[in-house]
Amino acid sequence: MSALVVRGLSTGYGSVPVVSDVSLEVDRGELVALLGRNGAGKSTTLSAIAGERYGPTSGTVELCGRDVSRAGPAALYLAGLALVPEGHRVFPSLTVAENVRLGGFPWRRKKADAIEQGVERVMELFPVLARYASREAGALSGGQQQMVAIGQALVADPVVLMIDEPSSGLAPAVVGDIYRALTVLRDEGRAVLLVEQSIDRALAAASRAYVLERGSVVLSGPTAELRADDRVAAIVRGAAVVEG
Amino acid sequence: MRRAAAARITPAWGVGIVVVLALVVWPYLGHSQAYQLTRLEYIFTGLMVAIGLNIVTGYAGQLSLGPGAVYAVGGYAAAIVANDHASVVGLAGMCGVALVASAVLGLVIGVPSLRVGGFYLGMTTLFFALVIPTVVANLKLTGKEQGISLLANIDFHQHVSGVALYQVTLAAVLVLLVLSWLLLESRLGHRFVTLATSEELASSIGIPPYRTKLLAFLLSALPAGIGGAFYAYTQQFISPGSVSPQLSIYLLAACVVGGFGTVLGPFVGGLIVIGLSQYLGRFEQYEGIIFGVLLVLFAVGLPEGIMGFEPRRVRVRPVWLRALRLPGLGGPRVEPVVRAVEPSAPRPAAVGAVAELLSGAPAERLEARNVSRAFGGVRALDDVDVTVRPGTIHGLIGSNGSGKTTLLNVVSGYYAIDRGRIALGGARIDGRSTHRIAAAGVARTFQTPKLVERGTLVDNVLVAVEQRGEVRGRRAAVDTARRCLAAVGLAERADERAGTQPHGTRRLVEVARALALRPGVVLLDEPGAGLSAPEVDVLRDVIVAIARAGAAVLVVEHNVPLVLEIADEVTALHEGRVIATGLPGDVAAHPDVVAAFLGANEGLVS
Amino acid sequence: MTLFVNAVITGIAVGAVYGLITIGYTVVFNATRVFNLAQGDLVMVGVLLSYWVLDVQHWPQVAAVVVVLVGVAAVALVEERIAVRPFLGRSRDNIGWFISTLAFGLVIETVVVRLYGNNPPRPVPSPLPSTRLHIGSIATRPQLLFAIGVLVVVTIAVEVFYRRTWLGQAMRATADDRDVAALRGIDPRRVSVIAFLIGGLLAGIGGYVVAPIVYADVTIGLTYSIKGFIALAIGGFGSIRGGIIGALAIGVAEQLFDLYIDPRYEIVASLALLMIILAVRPTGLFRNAVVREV
Repeated sequence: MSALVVRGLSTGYGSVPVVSDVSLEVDRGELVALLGRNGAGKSTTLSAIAGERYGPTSGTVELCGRDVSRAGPAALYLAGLALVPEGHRVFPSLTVAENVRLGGFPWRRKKADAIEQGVERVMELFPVLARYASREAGALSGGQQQMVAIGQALVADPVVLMIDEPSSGLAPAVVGDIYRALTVLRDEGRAVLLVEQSIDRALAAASRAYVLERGSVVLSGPTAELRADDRVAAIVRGAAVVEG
Repeated sequence: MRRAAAARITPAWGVGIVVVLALVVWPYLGHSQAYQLTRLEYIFTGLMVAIGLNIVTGYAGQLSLGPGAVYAVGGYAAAIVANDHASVVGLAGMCGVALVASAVLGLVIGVPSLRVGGFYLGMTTLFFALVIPTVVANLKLTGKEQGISLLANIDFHQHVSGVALYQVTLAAVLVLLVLSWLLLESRLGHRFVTLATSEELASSIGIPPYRTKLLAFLLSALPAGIGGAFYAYTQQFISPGSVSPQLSIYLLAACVVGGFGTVLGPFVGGLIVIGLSQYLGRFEQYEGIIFGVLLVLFAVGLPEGIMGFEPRRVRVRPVWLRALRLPGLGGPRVEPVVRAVEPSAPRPAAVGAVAELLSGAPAERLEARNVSRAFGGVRALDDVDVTVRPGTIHGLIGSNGSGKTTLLNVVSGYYAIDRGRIALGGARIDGRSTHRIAAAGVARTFQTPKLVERGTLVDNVLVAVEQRGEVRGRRAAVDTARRCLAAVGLAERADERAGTQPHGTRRLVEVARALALRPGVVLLDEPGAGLSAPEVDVLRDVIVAIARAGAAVLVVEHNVPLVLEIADEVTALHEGRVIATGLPGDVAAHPDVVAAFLGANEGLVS
Repeated sequence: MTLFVNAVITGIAVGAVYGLITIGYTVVFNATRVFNLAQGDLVMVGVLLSYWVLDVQHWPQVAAVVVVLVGVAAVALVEERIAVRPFLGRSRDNIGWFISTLAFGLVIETVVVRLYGNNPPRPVPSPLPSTRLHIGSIATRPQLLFAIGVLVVVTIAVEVFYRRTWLGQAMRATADDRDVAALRGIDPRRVSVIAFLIGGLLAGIGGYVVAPIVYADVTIGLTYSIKGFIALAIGGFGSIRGGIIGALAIGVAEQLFDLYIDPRYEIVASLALLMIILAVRPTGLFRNAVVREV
C-alpha cells in the first residue's frame, strides 16, 4: 500500500478547470518528481492534494490507505501529509527557531517533547539554521528560508512530504544542499513528491516522474527511461527548438 | 456600465415607474395635510443624499460616509443664510449656498483622506459625521442646541408650499436620479466603474486614480448639499438632532439594501429604510436595532442589494443565515462549471483589422538601461539592459524569480527603480506614475486578467477607447471597441458578460483593450499561460500583427517555443541579471541559458 | 507652566485609557485584517455593566470585574460569529466588514439605550479613593494613574502572550502568512475567534477602568472607535506600541486643546491630528514587523 495514492483528480479555480483526471502514486522511501511547464497545473495539483481547493474538485486521495479526499489542510497535516509551497515562504516576523517549532503546533499539548526533538533533528539536517536560530526569518537569504520552510514541515514528522519548486529563485550551491537533504528524508522512509521546472535536477534526484501538460499527465515512468525520452524536454522547456 | 446584455428597461424599472407614479399622485389621494407632505419631503431629502452616496461608494467603489456630513453642512449653511436674509433668499438661493458649501467641504475632506486607500476614507468621513453635530451644537452661529428655526422667523415665507412644494421636491429627486443615470452611462461613469474594480487596472489604462476618486467624492457631495437645503426649506428648521451620526449609517443602509452601484438602488432602498424610519411609530426606539440587523443581514448575505440581485446566481450563505431558512437566500453555491473540454475557439485573428486599428499610433523605442530594483534584501533586477525597437517583438524569458514580471512592472510604473533609467522614444519615464506612463502610450496585460466582471466585453474595451480620447461620440466609440474585439476573434462574444468568460477569452479581451489604447509600446505578461492551442494561435497572430503595425512589443513568457517563434530578439534573465540577449536561436543555445533552465550540474545529487 | 505640565500629565493618563482601547483594535486587526468599528461600543458595554453591578446591584468591585469581562467577551464572540466570520475568506479589497461591524455597533448602542434608558450619565464608584493626589506640584486623580498602571500591565501581558505562548506565536504567524499557517494546522477561523476574545477582554478592562472617569454615557462608543483608528493611523497599523504612542498623542493633544483653545470642541483636536498625519505620513510613524495593509 503506497503512502500516497491519487486517482482521477480534477480541480480548478472557480469555473476554470486547471487539472484534469490526474493519477499518481508515491511510496515510502521514494522520491517522485512532477514535471511540466509553467501553467501546466503542477502547483494546483499539489495544493488540491493538500486540501486547498479553489473550485469544484473530484477524484480521490488516499493517505496510507485511508480516504482523505474531503479533508482540509489542517486535518491532512495532522494525518501526516505536509506541503511546502512555492516561494520559500516563512513567517518573516518570527525567529528561525520559532518558525521551525511552529510546525509542531497541532501537537503542542500532547507531544511537547517530540516537538523539541523534531526541532533538534531539523537543526542537525540544516546546520546553518542552528547558527541563525534567534534571527528573524525575514532577514535570511532565500535558500536559508527554504530550509526553514522545509524544516518547519519536518517537525510534523510527515509520512508524505510535498515540495513545490524547491529550487526556484535560489543559487545553485544552496539548491545542492537542499536536494541532499531531500534524499536524506527519502532514505528515512518518507514519501517525497517534488514539483520542478528544471528537468535535470529533478530527474537526477527522483526515481520516477510524471509529466504534466495542460492539466493532464502525458508521460510517466522511471527516470532512467524519461531521461532518454526526447519528448520530456520538448514538453517542459521547448528544448526541441534549441538545435534550430 | 450596463450590467447584463439585457434590455435597458428591465422589470426593475417597471416597478420604479409605478412607485414614482404612486408618489406623484399621493397628495391627490387625500394625503395633502401639511404634516404628511412634510414627512414625505423629509424622506425625499434623504433620497437625494443617498443618490450622492451611491455615486462615490456604488459607482466609484470608495466607501464613504461623507454625504451625511455634507448634508448637515449644506443644510445649515442654507438655513443660516435664509435666516439672515429671509426676505431675499428662497429655495433656489438656499440650494445655491448649499452647493457652494458642499463643494468646499468636499474638497476639505476629500483631498487629504483619499491619499490612502482601503477603509481610510470610510473612517475619516465617519469622523466628520461624528464631529459636525458636536460642533454645530456648540456654535452660536448655528444656534447651538436649538438649531435654526426658519418657522420662527417672521420674515421667512415658503414661496413654494403645500402640494407644489411636495412636487418640486419630488421633481428634484427625479432630476437627480436621471442625472445619476446619465453619469453612469457617461465616459466619466465608465471611469468610476473601472476604478471600483481595481485601481491597478484603472491606472494601467491611463485613468488617474486620485483625481478620479476626488471627482467622485465631489460629485457625491453636490446632491447631498441640495438635500440639506431642501431639508431646511421644507422642514423650516434644522438642529443638531437632524444631522446625527446615525443618519449617515441609515443612509448607508439605504444604499446597501437598495443596491450599491445600481441607478435605482438609492431610490428604492431609501424609500424603504428612511420611509420605515418615519413610520415606525411605537417602535421608533428600536430603530437602531432594526436597521443595524437589516444592515448586517444585507452586508453579509445580499451585498448587491435588492436592485442588484440576480436570481440565477445563488451563492453561499454563512451558516447562521442558512439556519434562518429565509426563502431565496439559502442553499449551496451553484456554479456553472465549464467542463474540461476545449472552449469554443475564437475566430482567427483579423490581422488587417489590427493594422487598421493601430495605424497612426506613435512608434517609439523602449529603452531600459542599468535598471536595478531590490525588495528587502533580494535583488529582483540587477543592472538590466533591454531595448525594444518599434515594430519588433522582444521576448523575455527566464525561470521563476528571474525578474521578468518585475521588469514589466517597473516599465509600466507600478514599481519605482533604485538605479538606472527607462526611456520611451528618448524621454525618461521612470519615476512617473502608472497612469501617466499608460497615457504616454504604454499598454499592458496582466498575468491574471483584470476585467470589469459585471460589464460586457464591449464595455471593458470601451473604457480604453474612451480613455484614449481620439474617438468622438458613443456610437463611434462602441464601434471601435467592437472592432478591437473582432481583431482578436471575439466578435461573437462581444455582448457577453466578462464574468462568465473562460480564462483564454479574458486574456484576449485584455489584448483587445490594449489595442484600443493605440499604444506605441505593448507589454504582455505571460499572455500564453493557460490558453488552449487555438487560442495560442490567435494570440500569436495578434501579437505579430501588433508589431507589424509599428508598436514595440515586450513579451514575458514561459512558453519558450512560442517566444522563439515570434520574437525578433530575446533576452534571458536569471536571478535578476541578463545572462544572454540577441537572436532567439542564439539565446536558446547559449550555454548559460541552457544551464540556468536545466540547473547547474555541480551539486546535483545522483 | 504648571498648567501646561498638568495638562500633559492628564493627557498621558487619558491617552493611557485610549491606549488600552487601542490595543484591542490592534490585536483584532493583526489577526483578521478587520478594524472592529464596534470595539468602542464594547467598551461602553463594559462601562455600563460596571455601572449596573456597582450602582444598581451594589455588588463588590470584584464582581464588577468578573461580570464586565465575561459580559463583554461574550458580546465580542457573538459579533465575530455574525458580523466578521463571513468576511474572513473574502478578498482583501472587500470591506464589507466595515459596514457590518458599524451596524453591529449601532445595534449594541440601541440595545443599551433601551435597557439603560436615556438617563443622564452618572458617575460610577471606583475601586480607588477619589481624592486628588498631589505628586510634587501636579494634581491628578488616582483613577488616571490606575489607568496608566493597567495599560502598562496589559501591554506587557499582551506582548508576553505574543512572544512566549504557542497561541500568540500562531496568531503572529497567521498575520504574516495565513495560507502557510493553515497548512501547518493553524486554523484561521480559530485565530479570528481568539483575537476577538482577547479584543473583548481588553474592551472589558478598558470599560472597567474608564467607568469611574467617564460618566456612563451611551454615545461614547463610536467616538472611541474613531479615536482608536486615529491612534493606529498615527502609530501605524499593526504595531501595538505605535498604537499606544498614537493614543497618548491624542490624549495630550486633547488636554492641550482644552487648555488653550476651547474644551467644548475637544473633538476637533483629534481631527486636526488625523489631518496632519494624513498629510505628512499617511502610513503611520512606525514600521512594524507585521505586514502593513492599507
